[in-house]
Amino acid sequence: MRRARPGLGTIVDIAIAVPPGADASAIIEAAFGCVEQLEAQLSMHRADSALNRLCDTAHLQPTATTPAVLDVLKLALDLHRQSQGVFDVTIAPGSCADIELRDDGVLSFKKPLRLDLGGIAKGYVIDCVIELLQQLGVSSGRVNAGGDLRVFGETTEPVSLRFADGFRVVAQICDGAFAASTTGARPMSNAAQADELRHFDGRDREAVSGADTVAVFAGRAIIADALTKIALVNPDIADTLCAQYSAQWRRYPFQLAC
Amino acid sequence: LSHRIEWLLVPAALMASSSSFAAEYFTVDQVQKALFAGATEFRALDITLNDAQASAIGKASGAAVRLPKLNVWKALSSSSVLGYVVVDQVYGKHEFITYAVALSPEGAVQGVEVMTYNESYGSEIRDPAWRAQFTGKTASDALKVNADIRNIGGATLSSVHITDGVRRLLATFQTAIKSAA
Repeated sequence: MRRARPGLGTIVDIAIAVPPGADASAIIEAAFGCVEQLEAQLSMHRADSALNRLCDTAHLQPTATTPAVLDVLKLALDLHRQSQGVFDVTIAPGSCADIELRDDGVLSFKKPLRLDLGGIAKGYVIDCVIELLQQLGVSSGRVNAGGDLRVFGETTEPVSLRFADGFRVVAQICDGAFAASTTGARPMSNAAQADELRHFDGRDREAVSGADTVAVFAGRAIIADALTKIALVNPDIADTLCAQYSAQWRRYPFQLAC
Repeated sequence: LSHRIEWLLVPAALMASSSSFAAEYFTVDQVQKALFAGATEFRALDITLNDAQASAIGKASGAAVRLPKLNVWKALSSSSVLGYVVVDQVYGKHEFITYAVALSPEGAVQGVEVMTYNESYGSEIRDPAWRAQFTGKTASDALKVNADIRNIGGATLSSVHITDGVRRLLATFQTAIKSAA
């Protein structure tokens, strides 16, 4: 069964092999319910999200948050350190170095910070949905959140990228996650949108220039999602992190279309 | 389980100058039943928006009405009204989406399902006839697509067109569906 609904600011497409005797519709409902519930926590665009509530108080007093926000922030802080600051989920002015995470999961900010998990949260949600599907007895399937995708089970799937002159099949993947990002300004309708989509090097907040695309394959979608942002900025650091996370990446001399 | 990837050689230019992607999730019959599983009848409402209604809907929702003829059904279980199913189409620069919205009897959104999704790049999208190929298509009509283009990675497309469309349908309910039903 395959379904698609708007979610995570894009269209989320979920396909599953239905286990014998299972209620496929109920499984699909549970999967989209998981997307909705996590988006409500991780979104920076919802004033009442757990992420924004954390940012409202963590600079004033140590603040606890939800397991989902904590999971994503833990990896974001690891990647910030491991990438020597290239990967950074704080909105300037600020830095992940200003975030203190205690062993008990309580967070303190050294100064007021706003966080944007856009470079990592979509991958996290995909991983959570796949974990849920597996718990519900689904043996193979696919979750594609508008371009960040992961497949599981023993099927091999072609993956395409959309370039300006058409789609190209760039890989065949089995049981893993695929993500791609493009550098440079895009033909957006307004400057604010274009700014949001441009990728920044967390160390000096310089917008990355050029006209290339990077694609990353990893076991988990959160890793593939995050590593594309690092690979765009610093290939050497990307190589090191790919080795560490059993991931692979490729660069293409074309920009993705959007 | 083993994580595996085989990277393919990517040609600098495409041999053919166009390619398309299509996904079909629901026919009208299927989406009606999926949105209102308990319904025993879907009664079509014959509603065509007049100019004044279309203009009022555009003003209230900020999204212009393109198709005055509505595709709307009342979902009934014996004599009680469970709600409404509205099938609508939106398009962006490269994508064309048919989707269905379930509305409660009071006009609140209860569910949104994508029915068909089509996306096209290359020379054919410069052809004004590109979108025309979808006119009158149902989910069962196969479009000419490359079978290898199954999973598209990268370059997230926004769901803003669907969001705008749903807002337009909510205004449409208040302006035209509620009174006709």
